[in-house]
Formats: sequence, C-alpha cells, structure tokens
Amino acid sequence: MKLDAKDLKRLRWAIAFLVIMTLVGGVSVWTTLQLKGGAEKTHREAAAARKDIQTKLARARDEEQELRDKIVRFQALKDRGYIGPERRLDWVEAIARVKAARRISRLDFDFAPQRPVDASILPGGGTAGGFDIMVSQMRLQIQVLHEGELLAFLSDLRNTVQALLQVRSCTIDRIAPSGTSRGNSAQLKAECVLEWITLKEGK
Amino acid sequence: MAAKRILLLDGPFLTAYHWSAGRIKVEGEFSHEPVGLEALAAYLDKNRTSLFYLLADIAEEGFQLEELPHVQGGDRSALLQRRLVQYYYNTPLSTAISLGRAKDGRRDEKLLFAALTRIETFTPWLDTLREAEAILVGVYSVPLVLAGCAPQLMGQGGPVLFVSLTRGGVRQSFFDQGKLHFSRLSQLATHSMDEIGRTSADDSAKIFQYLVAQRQIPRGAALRTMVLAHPGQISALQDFCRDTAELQFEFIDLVATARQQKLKDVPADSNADNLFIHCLATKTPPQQFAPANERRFYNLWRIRSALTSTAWVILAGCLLFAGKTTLNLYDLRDTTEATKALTASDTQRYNAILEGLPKISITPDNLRALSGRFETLQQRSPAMEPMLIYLSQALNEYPRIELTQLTWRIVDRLEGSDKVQKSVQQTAGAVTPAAAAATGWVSVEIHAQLPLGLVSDQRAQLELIDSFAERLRDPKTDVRVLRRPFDIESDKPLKSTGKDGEAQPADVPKFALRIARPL
Repeated sequence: MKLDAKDLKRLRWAIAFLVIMTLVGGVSVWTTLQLKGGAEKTHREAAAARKDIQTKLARARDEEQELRDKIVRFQALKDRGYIGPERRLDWVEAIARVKAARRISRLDFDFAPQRPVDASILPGGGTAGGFDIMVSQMRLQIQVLHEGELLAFLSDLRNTVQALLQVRSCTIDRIAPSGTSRGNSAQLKAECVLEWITLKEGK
Repeated sequence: MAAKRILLLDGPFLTAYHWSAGRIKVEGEFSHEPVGLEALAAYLDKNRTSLFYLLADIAEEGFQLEELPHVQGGDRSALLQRRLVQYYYNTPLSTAISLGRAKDGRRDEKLLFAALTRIETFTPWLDTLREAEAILVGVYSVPLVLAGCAPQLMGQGGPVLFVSLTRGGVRQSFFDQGKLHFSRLSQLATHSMDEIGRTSADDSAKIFQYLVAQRQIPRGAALRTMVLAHPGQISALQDFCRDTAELQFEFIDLVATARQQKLKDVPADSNADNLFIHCLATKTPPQQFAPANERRFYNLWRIRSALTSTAWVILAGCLLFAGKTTLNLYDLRDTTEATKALTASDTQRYNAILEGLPKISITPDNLRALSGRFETLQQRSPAMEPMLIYLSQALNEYPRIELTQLTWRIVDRLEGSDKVQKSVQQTAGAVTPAAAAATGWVSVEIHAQLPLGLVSDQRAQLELIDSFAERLRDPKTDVRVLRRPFDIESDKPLKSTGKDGEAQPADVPKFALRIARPL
C-alpha cells in the first residue's frame, strides 16, 4: 500500500503522538539519568569524606600526640617571634649586644630587602599551612680571634634573634700578621651569608 | 480497542450489529435505496472509529476446486490472481483458499477459488463505506466463517455435509478433512419448520448427488450430514431428516455450541446468524473477498494503531526505565544520607579528640603542613660546627698541613661526578639519591699548604695529601682533591720547582680539597 499526502494527513495525529510520547519518555529518562549522575557524584564525595574521616579517626590517637607536639612547636615559634613582621631593630640591637659581649673587634653587615623564600633555600616553594615563608639575606663581615669565636657569635645570634638563621656560606681567611698590631688583634676574617627567615600569615 | 460492528447482508437489506464481549446488539437495518444508504452513511459517520466487517449470506457464490503446481512469492500471487480473473472475471470479490498439498506426485497445491459473484449486490454498500471512510476490515461470507469454526464441531475428518440455518435460508456446506470445498444457500419462502426440514433433507440429497457426480465423495458410501439446530427444534427436524443409504444425519445443539463459543446471548431458535457473527468477530478468517482499495482505511487504521502502540510502548519503556532509575536514585540517596550521617558522627568524634588539644589559631591540616615545611627548613639550616670539628680532628693528626682558607657553604649539588654523589648518598643510607639531590649538601672547601721542606719531594707531597684525604673520607663524607701542588696528569704541563735546588717561600706547596656531606 502506497501512502499519499492525504494518507499522511490522516496519520498526522498518530505521528505527532508518537513523537510527543518519544519526547516525553526521552526527557523522563534523561532527567532521571541526570539526577542519578548527580546523586552518584554526591555519593562518591560522601564515601570519600567518610573514608577520609575514618582514616583520620583510626589514627586519631597517634595524631593527637603528633598534633600536641606540633602545637608545642608552633607555640615555640610564636614565642620566639618567628611568626609576624620582621623586627629588624631588635635584630640590629641583638647583633650589637652579642658583638659587645663577645668583644668582637670588627663587624660589618648589611641586610637585603625581604623576599619570599626561594627554591635554593627551601625546595618546593615558600607557602605552607596558610603562611608565607619570608627571608632577608644578610652579608656579614667579621674579624675574630679564632674560629670558635665566629661559631659562638653565630650561636648567640641564633639563640637571641626572632628569626630562624640559616648560614648559606662562610669563608674564613687568615689575616696576614702585621707588625703594628699586637696582643688582642684578630687572626681571622670571615665573610658569611645568612638568611633570616620569618613566617608571615597569608592573606 | 476499537469497537467491532458487523454489517450482515442477506438480501436487499443490510443489518448492522454491534459485537461487544460476546454480546450482539442490532443497531440498524438499511435498505439499498438512497434513503437507506444515507442512513447507513450517517451510521458509519457516527461510528467512524469502529471496525466494520461486511458479512454476506447470499446465494450468489462461486466455488472452484483446482490443483496447481506449488509456487511461492510473487509468482504464486500472480498465478492465483490470474486464476481468480479466469473464474470470476465479473467480480473483484474473490479469494483463494489453500486446502493443503497433495501427498504424492508433484505434491500440487489444492486450492479453493471462492467468490461473491454478483458484485451489483455489494456496489452501493461498498461505495457508501468508501465515501464514509469507514474502516472496513473485509468482506466475508458465511462459508468463510464456517471454514474457521465448523471443523471443530465435526470431530473426525472425513467428508461432512454441514447444514445450518440463517435468516437467508438453509445452507449446506461440504467439508472434507475439515476443509471447506463447497457451500450452497437454499432460500426459504416461509421459514416454517416444515419448509426448513423439507429443504434440509431434499437439498442434502441433491448435494449428495452433485458431490458424487463431481467425484468428491465415493459412490455408495453414506455421507455424514450434520445439522446445526436449536435443541427444541431438533425433534421436528428429525421427522424430515431421516437416515438413508446415502445420508446419515447427526444433529448439533446450537445453544450448547453458542455457549461453547462464549456467545452470551444464546439463540432462541435454529437461526445461527448470531453464532456466525460472533465467530467472525472472535475468529476472523484470514481470507476475505474485498480488494485492497476497499480496505485502504483499514490499512491506515492499522498503521495508526501501530504508531500509537509504538508510542505507548516507548513511553511505557521510558517510564519503566525512569522509574527503575528513580528507585535506584532513592536507594543511592538513602545510602548517601546514611554515609553522611556516619561521617558526621565520626567527624564529631574526631572533633571531640581535637577539642581536647590546646587551642591554636590554625587548623590541624595547616599546622601539619607548616610543621612539615618548617622541619624541612630546619633540616636545611645545619650548624657549621660538625663539619669544622671533623676537619679540626683530622688536621690535628696532620700537623704538617697548614690551613690558609676555609669556605663552608650549603649547595644544591656538588660540582664533580654524579657517581661520587650517588655512592656517598647510598652509603649514607639515610636518603635516596633523588631526595638528597633535592635536600642538598654541606660542603667545606679548604685551601692549605705543606711544609716548605717537602717542596723538592713531590712524591711525599702527594702521599701526604692523599693520606689526609683518606683520613677525611668516610661513608658519609665525600672527599675530593680539587687542586694539587702540581699536576701529574700527562695532558698538563709539569715544571721544576726551586732554583738550583733551594726552595723559596713562594714555592710552598699548596693544595685545595673539598669535603661534603648530604644535608
């Protein structure tokens, strides 16, 4: 049987019905699949969160001790003044005090502007736990009687100032003996590069 | 489901019946006059969604038996059509019914070519149906209906003459092996029991003679003749239909048969019209007489039904799938909610543990991250003392070596061969090469000089330097002589020292050496 235009006209409502029902069915399937996809994603996230918290809980006791230790260390950092803005005035005064106490004959230094820590100092960048690790480089020239005096000076400085000190390099040379200087004259001169490291709260 | 309406044509009038679940109701009777045809058109228009079956119970019928070679497909259609035109050239209302294939020889196919031979009887009705765009399922005759439902009443499969009564008269239909071969309607004048009984008996005898003449039954054998009659009229008919040498009568209870066929309105007399109408509605024969153009609207209806059914099936399938997905969705949501509840409970327990910790301004995760980074930083900020003490101890054992300059520094990588670095790192055991490379090294580079007295003994110089280097070397410490007092390699120049064997202060042997340890 061949269909002509009139026959197609007679069938138009049935064809329209088929199209509409197909659309309605398709939309219902698509909608439910979308909802299911969303629900599966939520379920995956919930399962991941559950696994995460279970892992945390399982090691909670260990973590508790670990966190206590870390809190103590964090408090120590705060107490030492490592956290917060640089206190360069305090640093300079501390250097002067140590110099006087150690009777260092000659000491020169200069600080570079503060900058974020780079990979040569700390591989992996200078951001951690919401803090930016900042550094100020100090070039130090000092004349000492012997190397122990240099080490003691650095140790005093490390214990005094409100920053973590990292000695990057230190070159120690003998000072050529001169006829005029006698007695308490320096035997060694040292040129050191020190990094003064502090923590700044991130924005 | 579309309503079924049967249009029974058994004379000048056409009677419309509505069949519904075994009940048959007369809805109208129409004459072939214009008024009657208009009334029929109005009736058809009113019931335009119904399926119409035109059932003819008239005497103008033709039956031709023939055996033809068995062919299939288009050839068969063409062959049958050609035969129908040859037999019934003046009517399009014809059909071919296969009676099966012969069991021997060429296995020819036995065919019954049947037709409603007087087209003029049907023309006004078919025209009206066509103009009204009525859904005509087909044109049927009572013998076609009997071909479908009578064999199960006959039982065994030999030749049977089946006698039935309708409003059109007494019909004798001959079956062989359950297949219709021939049918004839004897019209009645009065429809009295006497006339019915006499006609049944007389015409059966005539049919017998005809069948014998046609060699459709063997001569001398009695023909089983079954009469379909109301139980209340069987005894009256038995007075006329007595067994003879040629005919052996049996009576079938019309009421019981109607009940067996699930006809709810059982006949009140021997008129089997309602039974045949019911059989047509419930077991519509596969063959019918109408040509394709008369059934156009029926074919369109089938296409429409197929489209509609497909639409419902698609919708139902989609909704079922969507329903199943929705159920899964609810299950998933329940599971998710349960997981979240457990997570919340665990989080509370975890937070309770954290609550017991001293209060600080950052979260535990941030604290861990900060601590880790700060520890790394501290690890990379070693004191100078260990390396200097190590060096001092070695120098104490070698008083002839005088230190002139020392450089302590942190470096990311050592200048020199990677092999040395790797061997030291692996020997140290604490770090992998990659980790050590990332962590860096503490190196101390020394410049020293040897006593002037050794200036002429170059072998002693080398031995002293090598011995000193060996003293410094240990599994954790990489030692490398950077510069010797002189070069002994073949690719470098070598010159004498001192003048006339006297050593000058400027000739004092100097060397450089580097020791390094991983951070």
